[in-house]
Parts: sequence; C-alpha cells; structure tokens
Amino acid sequence: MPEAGLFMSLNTGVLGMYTQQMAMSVVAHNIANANTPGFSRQRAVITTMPPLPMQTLTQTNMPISFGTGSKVKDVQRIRDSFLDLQYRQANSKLGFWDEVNTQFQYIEQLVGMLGSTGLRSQYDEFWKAAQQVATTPSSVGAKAEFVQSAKALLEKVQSVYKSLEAMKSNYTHQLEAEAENVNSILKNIADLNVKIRESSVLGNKPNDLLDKRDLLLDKLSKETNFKMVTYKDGEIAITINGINVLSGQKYVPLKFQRINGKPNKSFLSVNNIPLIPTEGKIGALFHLRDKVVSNYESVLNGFMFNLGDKVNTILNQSYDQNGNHGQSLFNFETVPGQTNALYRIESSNPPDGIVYDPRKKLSELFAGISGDVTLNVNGALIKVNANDSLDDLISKVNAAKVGVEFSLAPRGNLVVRATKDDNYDLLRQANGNENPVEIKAVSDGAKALLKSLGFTLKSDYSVDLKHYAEVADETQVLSVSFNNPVLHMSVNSSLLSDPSRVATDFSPQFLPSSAVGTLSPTGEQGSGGMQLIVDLKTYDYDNVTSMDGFFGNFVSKIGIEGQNASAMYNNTSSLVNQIEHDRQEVSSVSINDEMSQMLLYQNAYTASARVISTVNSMIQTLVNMVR
Amino acid sequence: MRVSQSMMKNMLINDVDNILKRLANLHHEAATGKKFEFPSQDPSGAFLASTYDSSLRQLDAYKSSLEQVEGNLKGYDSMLSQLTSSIQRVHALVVQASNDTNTPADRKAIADEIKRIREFIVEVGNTKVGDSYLYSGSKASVPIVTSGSGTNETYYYVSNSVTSNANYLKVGTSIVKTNLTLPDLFHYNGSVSNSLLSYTTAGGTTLSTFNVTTNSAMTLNGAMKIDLSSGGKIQESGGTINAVVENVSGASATVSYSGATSVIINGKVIASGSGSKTLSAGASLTIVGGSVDLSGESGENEAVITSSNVTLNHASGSSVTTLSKNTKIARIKEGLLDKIIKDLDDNNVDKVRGEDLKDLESYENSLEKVTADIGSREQIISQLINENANFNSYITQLLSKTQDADMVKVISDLSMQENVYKAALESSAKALLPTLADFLR
Repeated sequence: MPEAGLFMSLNTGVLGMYTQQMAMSVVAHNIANANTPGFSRQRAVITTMPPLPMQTLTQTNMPISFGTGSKVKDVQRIRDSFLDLQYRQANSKLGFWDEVNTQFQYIEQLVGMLGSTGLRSQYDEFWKAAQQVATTPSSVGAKAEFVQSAKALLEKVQSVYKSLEAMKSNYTHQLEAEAENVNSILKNIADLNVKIRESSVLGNKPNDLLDKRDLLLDKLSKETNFKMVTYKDGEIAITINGINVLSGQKYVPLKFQRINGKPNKSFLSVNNIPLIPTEGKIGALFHLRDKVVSNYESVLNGFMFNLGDKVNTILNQSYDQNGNHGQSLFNFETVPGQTNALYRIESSNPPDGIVYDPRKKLSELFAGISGDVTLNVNGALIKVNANDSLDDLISKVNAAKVGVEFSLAPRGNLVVRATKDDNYDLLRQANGNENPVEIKAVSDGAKALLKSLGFTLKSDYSVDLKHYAEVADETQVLSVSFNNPVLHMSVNSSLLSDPSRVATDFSPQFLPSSAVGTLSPTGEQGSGGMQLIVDLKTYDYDNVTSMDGFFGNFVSKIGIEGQNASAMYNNTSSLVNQIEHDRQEVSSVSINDEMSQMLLYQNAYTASARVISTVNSMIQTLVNMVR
Repeated sequence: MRVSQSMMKNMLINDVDNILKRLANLHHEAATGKKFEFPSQDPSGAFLASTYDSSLRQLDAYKSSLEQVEGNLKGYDSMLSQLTSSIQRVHALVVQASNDTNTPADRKAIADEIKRIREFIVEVGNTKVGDSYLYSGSKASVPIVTSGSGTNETYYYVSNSVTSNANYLKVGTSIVKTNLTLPDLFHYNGSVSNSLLSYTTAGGTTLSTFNVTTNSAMTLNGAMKIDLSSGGKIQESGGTINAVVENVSGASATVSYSGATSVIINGKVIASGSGSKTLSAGASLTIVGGSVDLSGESGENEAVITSSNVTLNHASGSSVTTLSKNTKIARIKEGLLDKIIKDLDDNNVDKVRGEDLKDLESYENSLEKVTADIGSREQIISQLINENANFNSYITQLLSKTQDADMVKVISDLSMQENVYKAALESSAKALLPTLADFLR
C-alpha cells in the first residue's frame, strides 16, 4: 500500500492549477459570448479526484483516504427547458397577435369611418344629395349630384374592397415567404440534429450546438405553433397541428399550394395534407386572410347590396318626369357561365299601379285569411294573425333572425333578401351543397297568404326559389355574382348621361278606409320616392337595420376587434418578456458573476501554484538534509 | 434573483420603448387635437364620434333644405301680398263700376283694367324658380295656360289631384308642407266649383270610353279608381268589374247596365238584367256579365281614370287585356274674374254689385286665410332652422367632448413623460456602464 508522499501533493497542486485553468477557460468563453443571442452561460463542474486509501506511519493497519485533487468533470449549460417550453408557447401567440395587431391598423385606416374621407361620410354625401333632390325634385342639377354621389360612393366602396383584396394577396405572398423561412429553419435544425447526435454518441455535451438549436426553435415558435419531442440521442422531432414535419435528420418541407384561378385561396401542405397553423405569424396570416379581411369584404358587399337594391326597388316603383317607371341607379352584373347567388326575390302582388297599405289588416288586403296563420321561415315558425298588418308580418320574421331579411317595396310587395348568414344567397350554394332558404306555409291560411302575395309556390306550399333563380326579370329577382360581387356593380350609365330621368315621384292615393290604393304618375315635382331613399338613413322599424345603424355597428365592431388585437398583443408581449426575463435570469451571462468566478479561479490557481512551490521547498528541505 | 447585463439592457430598452410609445401617442394627440385616431383606441368613443359626425352632416343637409324652403315661403308671402293688393284694386274697381254714374264705356274701360290685373295674376301664378313652377303641385308644365285669342283671350288652369298635390319637407320627424298650389290660391268658399281664375278639372289625359273585352269570367280586383265627378262610362262585356267609385264632387254617379247576370253594389247583389243605379261616393261596384255604362252628372266633363293601363288578371295570374285610355281636353269652368269682366262688358250692373262683389269678398277672405297659412308655415320653418342650429351646437359640443383631446392634460402629460424619458436615458447611461471588471486591478 502506497504512502502519502510529497510528490502526491505536488501532483495534487498541479491538478489544482490545471482544473482552475480549465474553469477559467469556461469563464472566458462565457464572457466572450456575453452578447451572443441564444447563448446560455456554462459552468465547469469541478469534482474531486478519486481518493487513494493510504497507510500512514501512525496507523498502519487502517488506511486513510486521501484526496488527490480536483478535475473538471463536465461543462454544463445552465438552462431551464421548462421555461423554453413556456417561452415558445407564448411566443407563438405573440407572433400571431403581433401580426394581427400590425395589420389591423392598416385595416382600420382603410375601412375606418372616422374623419371626412371615410365610407360613412361618403354615404352621407349620397344621402345629402338625395335630400336635396327631395327638396327640389325637378332640379336636374340636384339629380346629377345624386347620381354622381352614388357613383362616388360605389367607387369608394370598390376601392376599399380592392385594397382589401390587395391585402389578401399580400398575405398570400407573405405566406409563401414565411413557408420558405420555416423550411430553412427546419433544414438547419435537421443539420444540427445530426451534429448533436454525433457528439452525443461520443459522450460529449454539445452545449453550443444545443444553444443554436434552441435559438432556431425560438425563431420557429414565432412563425407557427408546434410540438417537440426530444430523443435519447439528443435529436428532436417536430409536429405542427399533429402533422410530423421533422424527425431527426429528416424534414418535410412545407409546400405552398396554389389553386387555379383563386390566388387568394392558396394554402400550405405537408405530404399533401393541408396545414393551417393556428398560431404564430403564419397562423396570423391565415386568420387575417381567411377570417378578418374576408369578413370585412363580406360586410362591404352586404352594405352595397342592401343599399343598392333598396334604392333600386324604390326607384323602379317610382315615376320619372315623363311618367315612366324609374330606372335602377345601380347595375348588378353577373358573370356569364358562372353560378350566381340569388340575393333577392319579390312577390308579384300588388301589380303595377296598385298599392297596399302596410298598416292595414291582412284580412282586409287578402280574401280567405282569418285567424292565425303560420309560416315556416328557415326553420322558425312565424305565427301571424289575420288582424296583423304586413308591417307586423315582416317585423315578426325579422325579429326571428333566420338569415333572411323581409321588407316591403314602396308599393307593398314583399321582398325577401339573403343576409350575410347565407353568404347573400337564398339558394345557399356556397359550399357546393344546395340547401335553399325555406319559406313555407304551415297552415291553410298561410297557403292563401303566400298565394295572395303572388309568390310562385311548389306543390308543398313553399316558395319555389329554384323557379326564381331562372327568372331574369329584375323586378322579381336579383341575382349577383359570387366572386367579389361588389366589383361587378356599376352606376346605371343612362342615368349618368341623363340624370333628369332619376325617378322621384311616388304618391299613392288611398280611398278612405281602404287597404288598397292606386298609384300613378303625378309629375316631376313629386318627391315621395326620393323621400323614401332619404329615409333609408334612419329607417329602422320592422327590425331592419338603418344605414346609420349599420355604420354605428360597423365602427364599434371594428373598434372592439382592433382593441382586442392590441390588448392581446400587449398581454402576450409582456408575457413573453416576462418569460424571457425568467430565462435570462437563469441563462444569461452576468459580467459581475463571471468576474467573481474569475477571481475565485484565479485565487485558487495562485494558491495551487503556491502549494506547488511550498511542496517544492519542502522537497528542497528534504534534499538538503541528506547532503 | 440573478440580474445580468443583458437583462438590464433588455429591461431598459423595454422601458424606454414604452415611454417613447406614450410620448408618440401624446404628441399625436397634441398635434391632431383628437383623443384617438383609430376606432380600436376607443371603440365606444369612435362609435359616438362617427355617429355625431354623421348627425352634423345630416343637420347641414337639413339646414340647406330648410333655408331653401324658407326662401320659397318668403317668395309665396311676397307674391301673396302683391296678389292681395291687386285684388283690392279689383275690389275698388268693381265698387266704382257698381256706381250708376258710370257709362257702359266707363265700365268697359274698367273691364280692360281688370283684364290687365288678370294678366298680372296669371304671371304670378306662373312664377318659376329654377326648374320648377311654384304653383303647379307636382306637375312641372305651365300651370296657367291661355285659351282663345284677341278679345276672347282668357286664361285657365287645371285643378285636380295632381296639380293640387302638396309637397312636403321631412326634417327628422317634422313634416312641413312646402308649396302652395293654384287650387289653394284661387278656390274660395271651400268649394272646388268657385275659383278666381277659370279652371278645368281634368288635366292632360282624360277618359271618354273605357272598353273592357274579356273572353271568360275575369276579376278586376280592388284598386281601379274612377273619378266620376263629371261623367264618363265603363263598358264591359262578359266578365266582372269590381271597381271602387270615387265621386269627388260628392254628387252621385249613375251606373246603367244591360244583360248583366248580377249587379253587386257594396257587396250586395241588387239587380240583374238591364237598368240603372245611382252610386254614392266610395261605393264599390261589381257587375258580372252584360255591358255597363257608368256615368256621372251629365253634360260636363268626361271621367278620368287615374290609374293608367290597368291590367285584368286571370285567377291564374296571366294577363288578359289592357284597359286603354283616350285623350280629351275637358271643358273650362269660368272663373270669377272672367265673370266680372264679362258682366262689365255686358253692362250687367246688378250682377256686378250683387253676386260678383259678394264672391270677390269671399275670395278676399280665402286669400287672407292662405296668407295666414303661409305665415304660420314660415314661422314653423324658422323655428326648425333655430332648432337645427341649436342641435348643431349641442352635437358639436358632444363631439368635442368625445373626441377632442384635453390639451391642458395632454401638454402636462407630455412634459411629464419627457422628464421621465430623460431620467430613463440618464439612469440607463449610468446603469449600463460599470461592472466588477472596472474595479479589478
């Protein structure tokens, strides 16, 4: 059994110096990388060398364990993987809301209603022109202004719509670029996976490679949500929405898929499986393109349809200066050869020249109606009484909110319009399924009512929408284009060239106590029709929203959505900052920290050197003794 | 807790960023004077601001409409006073002519002067502002037209539902009648048959004979209104007419029929075969089969069908035949001025100082009423204009409260944030510098 000797102490001193020097190089590495993004500080893990049991002079039978110095066992990365996980989850949300919030400011600027250049003030101009025509119905100047302001309003709506379309195509281009970005991140991770596995197999801890990979994962989390699994050999696998995109050194690139003729419907796919991330920047781009912007487009379409069609209906039933029925102000064009949406149908009674009083009882208007009458409108059972008026009937249907809007044409024809809920199509053919809106008589009285109104019915006493889809007469139906319908609208060119033909005259004559009146031209100074157009701004009886109501809703809705986006951005941003702070607290390099470590190691180094020199002098003493 | 240099740096940048954002917002508020730029900054405020903005534009439009109507009413007012003085002159002349000392030649001279006054009144009645005649109801053609020539020259206007159509201005919930029509101006004694100027009831299109030919039982439902105040007829064979009769003058209309299966008046079968029946105003009439003549009081004007081109419909909905209408100019009823001129020309003194003078006085009464009516309408309009102005300033105040920045607060906040910003920069400059390394020798 060996004995503890001076040379062993000398060796211990040497090991001490060596260990401290190694540790010092770790400190140096830390300081050098103090500002390297993604770098986590490292610590030299110093342990004792295995002790040697030794006999001593004083205790020969029982050996004592003597320490033999220190060594650097490992260099450790100081990092909390739980915080990484949290960081990436929060960062995906931040990526999402960051993009949505930024884009919302553009959207708000575009469709914003504030100020004197917005959509609302443009509508107000149109309304003001109508009010002027109602005041001076025979003034051609006022009528010209009316037609021109309608054109300006339509052009404004179209220009906003086009800008929204441009934003959509912008998002699509960005999606393509972001997909490339994700692919390059995935490729880098796959490369790193290989290197990490190689080092791990050799028993090394490839700290700096791991840092690099973690940084890439942080970047990836900003782009999309994903889940990650770490294998034993240090490799990782990544899934997005449950779809595997990376496993070890293999990765599947995201593919940008175009759809012919519909550039703004392009999507991403992995192995031909469509992939729509819910979070991150890519998720935000999908959300903005397919939900937010599409929704505003749809609202714009609805606004222009509703206004245009209502104005047209009023003009068509009014008379112009020559005693002819008025021309439409807005033209709705459809694309030949494409399926069209059936936006509006109109009952054929009362016929031309006749007017119903909408406040009179149904039983006074139509024969054979008594007691309760039940209609099935899109599943809602609407019960009206023979003592109710037409106004009551449409009010009851509209209150049920079943995806259609009932209203009355000026003469009293019942008008059924599709709403946003049906994609502005009474036939509801949007997603390929044909499940038309149902308006059906449930009771015998209702059959008589629908018949008396002059609707074309099927044998089961429901309104035959398919029949209407084939009718071309604009006083009965209005078909609109499915694709960007508002861009297929225009202002009637014959009214533009001859504004004096704008119809203003609508003055029905009712006999005392009669529910039915007559209508005939009274001359160009009649203003009843134009007054109805003026009233659209504030009219909101019968549960039909007025234009003022529409704009009010629109402004608060866009405001609340925008506020929500910015609140979510602020929340997630501060959450990410907080987690990043926590992460930094664990992993970042503190110069003071490193300096104190440096002093520590330096002192220990000096002390070890001192041990060596002391042992040296001890050996000297010993050697000198034997001289 | 560990705090490292990079953490300090991140925190500082974050803090300074936040201060800068606040500064930018405040600067924007100060520069634009508005609390918010986008709806998202204050959804409920934006909703209100947008609504108030729109209300202001609405009030502006109403204001210009109201002012226009006010101008028109003022025009009516001044024209009415001209008319009144003319009528007073006519009155004086008629009184003078009633005097027995006048010779027939004197009375002819007076008649000539009244003719000139009549021309002036016609000019007033034909006043045109911009594109529209002031007194023509909803018609835009010349209200008072000339008939005859030379010494027989006279003037007449059309008095029916179209030319007496009132135009209204609707301002929010208030509705004001904005025009004055010739019937308003010239009729007196509350009766259509009395008028200062000559007039005719039918304008433009009149109906003389109204032929319905049907080949099987048809129903003409409801709303054919036939003005039978002065005659006309409906002929029908082999079908059903269900017409509502409106008798404007209050007098009755007569229906005569032959070969009818049944005649139904006001829902009751009263006769069949041939005969005639008297209809009162508002009566509904159904005649099945045979042929029918509907006529009003005999001898004067023809019937007017006010709904053009009424279409008969089968029960199945297909159109069968279209009712046609003929054009005929109706007879002219003599007005008071024309009567006076004629009586003066004829030297009919008894009539001049009796009937004519009395009618003239009742016309003057009616003119006073019209003047008072215009005055009250002017008052309503000027009230509305006042209300409009008040409402405008009220909404402007509300709008300002909703969207205008509180400048005192903005400026003080701004300087406050500037100080904070400077302090933050200063402290960062200090905080980032020293580490332990600086103190190691």
